[in-house]
Amino acid sequence: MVLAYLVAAGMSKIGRREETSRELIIEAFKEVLEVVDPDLIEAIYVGVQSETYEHQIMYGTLAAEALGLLPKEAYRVEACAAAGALAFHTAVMAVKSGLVDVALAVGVEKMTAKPTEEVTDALMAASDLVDQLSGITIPAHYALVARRYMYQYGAKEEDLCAVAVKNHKHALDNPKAHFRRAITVEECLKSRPVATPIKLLDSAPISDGAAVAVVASERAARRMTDTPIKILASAVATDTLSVSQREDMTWPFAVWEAAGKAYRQAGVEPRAIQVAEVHDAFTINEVLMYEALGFAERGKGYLLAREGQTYIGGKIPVNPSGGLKARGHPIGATGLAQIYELYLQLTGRAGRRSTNAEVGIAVNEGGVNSAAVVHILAV
Amino acid sequence: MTSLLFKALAEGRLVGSYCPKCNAYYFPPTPMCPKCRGDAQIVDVPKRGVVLTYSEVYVSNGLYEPPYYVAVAQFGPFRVPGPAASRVGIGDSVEWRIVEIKRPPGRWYRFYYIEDQ
Repeated sequence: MVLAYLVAAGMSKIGRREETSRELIIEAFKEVLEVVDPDLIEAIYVGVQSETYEHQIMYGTLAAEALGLLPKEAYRVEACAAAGALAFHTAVMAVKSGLVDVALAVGVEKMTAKPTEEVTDALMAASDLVDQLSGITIPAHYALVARRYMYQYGAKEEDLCAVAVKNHKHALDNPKAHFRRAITVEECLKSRPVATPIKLLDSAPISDGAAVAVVASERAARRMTDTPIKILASAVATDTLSVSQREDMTWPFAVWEAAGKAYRQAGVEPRAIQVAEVHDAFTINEVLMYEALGFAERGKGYLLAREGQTYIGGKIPVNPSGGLKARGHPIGATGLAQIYELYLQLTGRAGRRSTNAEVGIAVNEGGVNSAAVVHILAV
Repeated sequence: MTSLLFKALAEGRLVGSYCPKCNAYYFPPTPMCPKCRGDAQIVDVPKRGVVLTYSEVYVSNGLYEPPYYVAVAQFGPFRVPGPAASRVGIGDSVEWRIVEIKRPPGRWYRFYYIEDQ
């Protein structure tokens, strides 16, 4: 089978940033110039969630212009918070099709300049119109899922907070993370409600940032680096926009479906995965990811968090970067921030948060697990 | 799809769709069954339902004044997401009522807690 390779990745510092998207993209891109001759890049795909934040569309052209890549093929892809991984998937498709030898995937979002109410509204565009008109915000959607999950399986709010505690601890060793501050379960439980049972410290922050990845054919990859990362799988799946229309509201079907496809493409079992970057926009979702990825049985994911098995050094390290929760969640950039972390982990560049992993998985989703994008990478 | 719902709300009804071929029900109403792609029929959502899950929302997009309540409730064959008039719990009985709202589409529905008989 023809493989595509990840040859380089870069990321801006994530957080509350003064810079525009254009500047954040440049900051992330500069990091890949150590490895990649930019003249080799033939196409650019940009993941962005919303034009609301900067009153901007045409991010493909914007990135090509900012990076000195005009007049190359460039366009935007979108599936809310899954946009970043979708840009990477598009780059993989372009390379595997033989249409281009080297493609650049970009993810970016500049959110903090807008008030929370406007950000909440922009994100809500990912919901079915009926949910929007009913006032069911995105956190409220996850809250409906969390409440039902707790009812069905006996998980407690403490179990969800355990995920946040872990991810904040991991981010202490990530110099580019939005938050580098340890938190406790008690602090999380006492933090103010967003949409019960979800509290502030169960939630990923509103962030600014950009991340990029360069995908190349085998021939092109060998010219750039002796240690290209193999992209063993790139899979996408979808589910209803409204969680209310799912057979079981607690089951992230699209993630399970995309993960199943990815495992088959890669020819690996869940137990072969040594590090995972998953979409913990809210703590409940990391628990659901454990189950959908086959790390835990259905209804038992919360036990992994409670028992600390997903810490670095544990049975299956999840979100060594700090995840969306602590690394930060600039929506369109998140999927590529996950790829960036796997790049660091698999090439031995992760420093104190290294997992020594050789096979990793990244799971990015948009809506409320309404679009899922799964990648499996290996040395 | 949702215009079918808006039209019904204007008439004081809450409706979904039924596909006689697949024996499947959909909310919000849709003109085409997503399973067999045949014509779906518009049918009324039963008045009484049971809460499956709920949340009290504190951070809004400006549409509703927080804190407010939202829920998903099962009304016969339909599972409906919506705003609730008061705090509700899983398993509570509710009924839907049409309420006037000051923004398009002018009418919406809301879940009201009812004492079990």
